[in-house]
Amino acid sequence: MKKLDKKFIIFIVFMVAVLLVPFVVTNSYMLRVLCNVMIYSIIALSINLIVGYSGQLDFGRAAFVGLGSYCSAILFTTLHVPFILSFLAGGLFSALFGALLGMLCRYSSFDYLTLITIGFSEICRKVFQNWYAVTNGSFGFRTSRPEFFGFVLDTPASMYYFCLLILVICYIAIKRITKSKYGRAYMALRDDSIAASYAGIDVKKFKLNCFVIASFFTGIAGALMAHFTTFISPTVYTTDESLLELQMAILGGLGSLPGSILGAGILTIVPEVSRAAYEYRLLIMGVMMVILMLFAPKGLLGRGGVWDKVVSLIRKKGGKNENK
Amino acid sequence: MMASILKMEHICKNFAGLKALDDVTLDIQDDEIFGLIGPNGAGKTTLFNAVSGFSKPSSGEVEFCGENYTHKTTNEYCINGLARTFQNIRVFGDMTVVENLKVGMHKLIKTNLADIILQTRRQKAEEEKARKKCEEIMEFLGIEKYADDFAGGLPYGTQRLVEIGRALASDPKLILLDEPTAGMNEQETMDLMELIKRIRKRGPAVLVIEHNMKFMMNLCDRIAVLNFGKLLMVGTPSEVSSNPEVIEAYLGKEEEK
Repeated sequence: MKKLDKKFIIFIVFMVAVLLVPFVVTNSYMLRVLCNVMIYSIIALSINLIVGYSGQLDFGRAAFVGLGSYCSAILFTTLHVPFILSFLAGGLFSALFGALLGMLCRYSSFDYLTLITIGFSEICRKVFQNWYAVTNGSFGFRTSRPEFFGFVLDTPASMYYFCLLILVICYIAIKRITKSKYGRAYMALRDDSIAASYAGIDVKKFKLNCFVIASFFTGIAGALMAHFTTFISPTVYTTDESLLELQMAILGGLGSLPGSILGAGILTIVPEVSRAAYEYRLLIMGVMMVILMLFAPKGLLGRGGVWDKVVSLIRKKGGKNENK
Repeated sequence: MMASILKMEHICKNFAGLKALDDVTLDIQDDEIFGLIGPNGAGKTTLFNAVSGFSKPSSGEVEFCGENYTHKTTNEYCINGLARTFQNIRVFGDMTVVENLKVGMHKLIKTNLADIILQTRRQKAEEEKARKKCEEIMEFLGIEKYADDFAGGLPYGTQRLVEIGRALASDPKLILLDEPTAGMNEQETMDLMELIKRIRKRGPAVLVIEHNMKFMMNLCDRIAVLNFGKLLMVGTPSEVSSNPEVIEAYLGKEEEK
């Protein structure tokens, strides 16, 4: 009971600190970076749901980010749909394509999901690039900041709060899903699909529905990204980007939701801080991933990852070895 | 109130020319412990797979709870009340014991995505119900102290109990146990026998495959003997152990004592 209270206090302190950030950090560049962290956190969380929970490998998340971005931006700017509707439509549009793709995989096999997602992300990129009438091609598409009943979120601080709000909602929703029968079904089919099918779980249906739910959150993140940067172009939604997003989830630790946020934070902030060595950033990240995979394949906060190892090491050294 | 729960009629299963099952007809009642014995490779596990939707029989009919289930999937069998454990244990290693049991309850938890995301009263009530039921089952099996341990790291015998617990959590009408005593010592085997008898009192019929004859003779109401895919005989343990054909196929050495 005491432990729970302690956790709760830490949580409150953390939330207050996060809420006060815009008052302390007035540098708009820093706030922009933090917004980026939050947007990528949502993407990493959705990847965690697919890769960490249901155990499928997806190399094409950027395509779903792109679908969400373009859908929301086009609805809002070209068709003048109210912001909230176009924002949600971004998520739903992405989920729709997730469902179509998942259904195709259902008829072949989910083993090929990795290849199919790579192909799909290339197709999407080409469509964004060449469907000039709708997406404005490689010139990019210009959209505007979120607007609620005439009130525009044009300051960095307001955007920070908006991103935070969306991140918290997505985090809570994903957390609840993972703690429910859905989450347990995903983990069960990841651990042993035969045993899962003997527990009354329709394995293919749950692989599909995990993919669709995750695609919805990816699409929401995409819509958020579009209205945050106010400019989207096909060069953002490449396979490289997908890999980076996958790295965030893996670095943080698959199966750990706070891990995804940490992973997104590290992989967004490190390249910004090391702007001086910008040309070598891919090299640095590559080396980092190799080291991590060799010595801590479970990531930073995953079960049996770096954090768990450090904790158990401290326990041993401190002499209060609790597990006998 | 005896009624047939699983009826197999003329089940055949061919693997590219090999007749793994040849015209097996069995009828399992809803309140018995039914044993299935036979030498290695006799087709016991194949029969399990064929009558639980995992691999369809090449010919023949399966009737489960009075309905034709020949072409149903495992999933449909389970929703209707079949549960199973495996010869090589299949627990969900990266999940805790209590989560493993809750997976077994999957079909009993009636909530949808909206309930889950909004954390409605129904969702909370269902989760609470699941937690209580899992606690009851863990107590029944004597594994409550492992509730929050990851199933993959538990000792072999305990994992077996977790698997049985997961099967029980789904409120089955029939449990298939595939060599439950594999790798267990004498004492564990005896404990398991008592456990299976207690499971039967909870409701489900039990269909068990086993090599350990002493275990089977003490446990089962009826035993079927398979040899090279063919059904040799069905009878009470004493009938089986005194049948010369069975002794020749399987029990020869045991009988000399």
